[in-house]
Amino acid sequence: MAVWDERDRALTRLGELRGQFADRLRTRLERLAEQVATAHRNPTSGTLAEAIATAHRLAGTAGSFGYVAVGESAAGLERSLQRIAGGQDDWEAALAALERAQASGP
Amino acid sequence: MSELRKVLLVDDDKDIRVIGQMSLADVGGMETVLAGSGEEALAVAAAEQPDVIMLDVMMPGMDGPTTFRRLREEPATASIPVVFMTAKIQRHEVQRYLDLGAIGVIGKPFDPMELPAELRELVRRAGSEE
Repeated sequence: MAVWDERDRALTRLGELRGQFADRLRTRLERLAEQVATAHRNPTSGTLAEAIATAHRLAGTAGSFGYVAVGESAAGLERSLQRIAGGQDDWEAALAALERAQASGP
Repeated sequence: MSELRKVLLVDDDKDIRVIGQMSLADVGGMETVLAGSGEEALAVAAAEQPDVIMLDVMMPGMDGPTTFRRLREEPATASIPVVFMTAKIQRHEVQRYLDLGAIGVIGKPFDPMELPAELRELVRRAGSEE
């Protein structure tokens, strides 16, 4: 059936894109870990904003490629970093969320 | 609008543009044009005249809401329906974007196999409310 053929082709293409994204996801998670470490050592508005932006983008992207747990952990990390930027001490939760994101990656 | 043929997808994240284009084109059968920034979106929207624009909220430089206002100010793009995309899909934020004049909000992450149907439904509902 043509409709199912199209769906199968789309699923195949999705699988290819997911495979290509896996390499980029590793790089993005490494960059996120570096930014979080920098912000942890020196929590200025600049270092925190950089880590928040990276976590936010990963939260929106990873799940669309099927890495749902990575995306959810990145969203949790973003929330914690925003609390830290607002003056709260939420580093324990932030670092735990980062660890979960890394563990859920490819 | 009888059929959704051409979509402009605006997002600064290249991976979202890649998976979104695959979804809209391969799953939804829609012609998909892309923009990586608000500034680029203004030019592409005017030139391509898409049936609908999917516009990311948080972008460096010109963000989604600012891009939306600029699109509305230009006669060539003022009437093109806009759907916002956001990773923070909270009720009060959704209402804020609807109040701006968007026809809907799609959350990120999205399911690429379901995105075209979700977009068509938002456009259909907006059409039936006119």
